[in-house]
Amino acid sequence: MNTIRQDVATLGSGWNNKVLLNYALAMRELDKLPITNRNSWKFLGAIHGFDRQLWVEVNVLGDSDPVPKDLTNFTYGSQCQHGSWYFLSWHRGYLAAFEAIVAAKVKELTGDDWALPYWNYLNDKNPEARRAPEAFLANTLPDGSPNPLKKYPRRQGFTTLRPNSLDAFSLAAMQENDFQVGNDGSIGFGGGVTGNFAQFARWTGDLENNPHNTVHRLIGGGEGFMADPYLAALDPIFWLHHCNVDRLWEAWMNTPGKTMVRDPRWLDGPADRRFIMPAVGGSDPGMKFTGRDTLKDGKLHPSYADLSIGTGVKPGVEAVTRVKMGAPEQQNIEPIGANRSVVTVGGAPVRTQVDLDRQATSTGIAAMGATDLGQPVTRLYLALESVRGSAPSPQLAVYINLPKDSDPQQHPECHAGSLTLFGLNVASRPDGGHGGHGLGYTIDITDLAQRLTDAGDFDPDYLRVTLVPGEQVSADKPVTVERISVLKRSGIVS
Amino acid sequence: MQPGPVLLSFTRAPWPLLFATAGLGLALCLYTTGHSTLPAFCSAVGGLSIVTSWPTALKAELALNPAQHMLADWALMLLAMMPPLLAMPLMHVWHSSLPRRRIRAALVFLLGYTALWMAAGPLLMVLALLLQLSVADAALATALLAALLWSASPWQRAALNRGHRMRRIGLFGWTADRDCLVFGAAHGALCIASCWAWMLVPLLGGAWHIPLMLVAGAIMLVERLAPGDRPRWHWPAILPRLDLWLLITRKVAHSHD
Repeated sequence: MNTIRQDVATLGSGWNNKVLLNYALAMRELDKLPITNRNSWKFLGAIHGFDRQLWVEVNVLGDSDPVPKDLTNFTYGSQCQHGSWYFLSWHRGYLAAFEAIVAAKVKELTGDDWALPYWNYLNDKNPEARRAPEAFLANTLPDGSPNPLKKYPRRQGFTTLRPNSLDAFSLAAMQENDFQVGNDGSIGFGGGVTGNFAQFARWTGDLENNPHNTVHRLIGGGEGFMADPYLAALDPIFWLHHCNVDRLWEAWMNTPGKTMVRDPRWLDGPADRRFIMPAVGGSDPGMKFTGRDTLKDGKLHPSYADLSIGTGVKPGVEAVTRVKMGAPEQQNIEPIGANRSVVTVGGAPVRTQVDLDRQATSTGIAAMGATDLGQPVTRLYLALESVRGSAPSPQLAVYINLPKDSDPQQHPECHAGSLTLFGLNVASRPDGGHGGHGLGYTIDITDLAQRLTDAGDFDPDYLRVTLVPGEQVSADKPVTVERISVLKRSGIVS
Repeated sequence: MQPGPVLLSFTRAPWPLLFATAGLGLALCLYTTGHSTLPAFCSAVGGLSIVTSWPTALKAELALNPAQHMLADWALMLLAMMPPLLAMPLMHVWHSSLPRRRIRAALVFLLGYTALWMAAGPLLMVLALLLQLSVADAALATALLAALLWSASPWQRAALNRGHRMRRIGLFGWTADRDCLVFGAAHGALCIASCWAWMLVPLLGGAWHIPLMLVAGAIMLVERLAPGDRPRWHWPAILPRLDLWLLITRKVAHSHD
């Protein structure tokens, strides 16, 4: 065994997978520790998200269990970063701290070295890639004792990631060339700009939206811990999922043509609160870090056995699937259309009209296909702004110019994209970091707009957008979208 | 809060413009202090009985300082203290609007915001006058205590939280103007709820009017930049932490043992 992170599917099946057996043994011991211990399983989970009342309700904590102050006083607790450009760097630091603590426990118990494996669920060369490793499904360990890797609840009957007809579970995010575009922050691979600590900020990056959010819902469903950011990190499969998301980021950064952000607000931020993780043993002062520490040559930069299989890119090889649009800070983003009122989606699809600025839309459409160096080029995006709701990870599918009263599933050609709104419950809390402002999502509709234009079904005056509710959306738990807009991203072919 | 990254973020748009605007407001306040109204407001009425004399005092005050002058000085105070608090909502209005309408949208937002604060001004001035009449020399100390209490309260926390939430802005026609105006007014109302107590302090500052404006402005900015939290009674962010103070004093005591 070594300390390079490897594909869990290559490490053996069932309990022959010694990395997972050691993981289970270490987790069992860490889970016995009280939450007051900074290396306990519960403390590590609470770093992602913590709500005492919820944890008591789901029997993770007892009514009278003492909770350490540093989980509730803005030190260690509830740090997870989503909907912003800190999503990837914060989770990288989180994985590193977790891996060190588990590895130390494995060493203590077995004498083995240990590295966190990744779940390569989008490896199209492995027909079983989407099936959870057997060790997470078995009821018992080889010695007959209960399997800690299956201790916390998941979607009923979960064995395999099964995207439904509304999902678009893919590596499309890897096609984006820029980590963050312009100063607007609404578009990019890695999430929107913020200088501040925010558990759920405003704009979700492409990789976070899919596959990250999608996998959380596919495992968690309506009742499992993975669907809720307050509970997700308690499920041991969380760490293998995030390890793969982290690997996708690493593969993306190692691919020529991709532009990683170098803004000092990202490198050294956030400004208002430090990211901090417990050290092995839990002693003070813990490990503080910033985005800079997570990059190559940084103290938290990981090693992966492979960055090609199941990533959609080949590190070191430039394969431009989208035309490059120039330096991110020189690209421009502007709204060119918006609907007229707040949309509420309950148990049935909702249709809304997005009015467009004719001139800006026409010039945008004309420049969509540009490929010649130095030519102006545009991409179009549908933005769902300030999305709010009470469910932890509801699902919405978005269609454009769907024929009236038709079944969305009969019109895949109108499907713009699918969203899993992971953490919507947290982002919508009035006492949260943004006063319950909710989350924002952008969907690249350039190719769809091109198809509609070619078919003569793109009116530069308006679009018809239909939001189709999926899991966790109902009349009792609706999702509201403050504004649906169309954004035009402009650059120069480079 | 890390001072380095915070100060660095102030070098980016729209902060330089907002600080420059505040600086202009401060310069105008300094200029008018010489001829002036609001600092004189407090000292002119000291010692009168709140029960019997406040109508007389108010009349005397208005004779000394005509209402339009007081409102003009209030407007300058707002210009000097409020611009840095508006970075987030102004950027939201800017990015949410068509490029050709952005300046107009920002101005309409500011109209709604300022209208609310201008309406709040006379109420705060009357409150300052009542404090001056009722506790005279202790008026400033009372206002400071009230501001600290307000900063510690769940109500101010709730208003600050709510102020982080942006509103939808329409893209076209009169609905876009309406949305900007309503957003400005709504944000102004939440800003008043968050900041009224600290705005009262310089009103009672007398000769310390300008320095207290700077201090109160800085405190309001720190409170605005602090992360959201559950509304509850808490130790004001601008005060040294009591538990840290106790820890330090205990350590010092031990070191002498």
